[in-house]
Amino acid sequence: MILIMTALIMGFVVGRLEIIPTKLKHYSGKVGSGALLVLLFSMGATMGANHEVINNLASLGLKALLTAIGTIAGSVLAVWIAVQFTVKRRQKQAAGGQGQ
Amino acid sequence: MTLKIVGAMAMGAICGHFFVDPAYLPYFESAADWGLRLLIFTVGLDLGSNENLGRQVKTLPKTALAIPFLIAVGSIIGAVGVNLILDSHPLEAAAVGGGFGWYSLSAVLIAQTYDVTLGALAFLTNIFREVLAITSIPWIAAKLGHLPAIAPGGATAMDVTLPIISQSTDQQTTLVAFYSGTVLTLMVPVLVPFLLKLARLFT
Repeated sequence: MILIMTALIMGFVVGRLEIIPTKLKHYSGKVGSGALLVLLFSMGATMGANHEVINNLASLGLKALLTAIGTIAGSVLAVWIAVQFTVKRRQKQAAGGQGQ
Repeated sequence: MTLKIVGAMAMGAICGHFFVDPAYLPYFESAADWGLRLLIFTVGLDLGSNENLGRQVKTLPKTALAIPFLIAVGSIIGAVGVNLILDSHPLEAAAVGGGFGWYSLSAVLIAQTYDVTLGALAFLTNIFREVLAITSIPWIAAKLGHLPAIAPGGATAMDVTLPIISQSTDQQTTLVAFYSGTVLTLMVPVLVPFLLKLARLFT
């Protein structure tokens, strides 16, 4: 967690100081995508080789999958509803402002 | 993008399961760690080079501050809801859902202080959450908007899913995601033991 924070802050400071020439900055997206694929492949490999995961898949897999879907659906819905709520209120305020 | 993501993970899983000697696994783990650090560095680089970031953050709705708490409540309600249908203990389900995708910690907390099988369930559930988050974030960002795309990752919005959120949304959303992931990460070690205590009271 501390290393992640350090990486983010270091990137932010380097970006703010404009040390990196614009030409190189162009590549930051490509480096990012490459690093992402390395990360995902390695994560997949460690999970595929993890016997605890593979052994429990048969007995607990379905329940775990459904629970995971439940947590995602619940949290996405909660944020989505809250956003809809504030967006609507903003629109109302904007409409009220125009009326005055 | 989703296809590339799923492809990379699936290929990794197949290689890891069938071809990789367990002795080489630490190399994969450190490759994942360094890949992640490099990614987060490029996310920071993009944020730092944006001179309008301050102004963009101000356009965010006030709801943004409440997002980690909405995600926490939504995750737990979702987990409890599914497990009520499956006819299993709702408070145990709440503790599993309270891992917010941080599978290593939530599984250890539950296995050591409560029950090994529930710990295994928490491990799998939160791994699935992370994998499903990685694959669904680009889609949710496109269909439901940027802020809801922070939710699937839960606590991982500060590390593993942050680069995906950053590539699928915009920079002010990336900042909110990092904030939300950090708050949820801090919540897990407090909330999971608390929910387990409640579960023990009501069995």
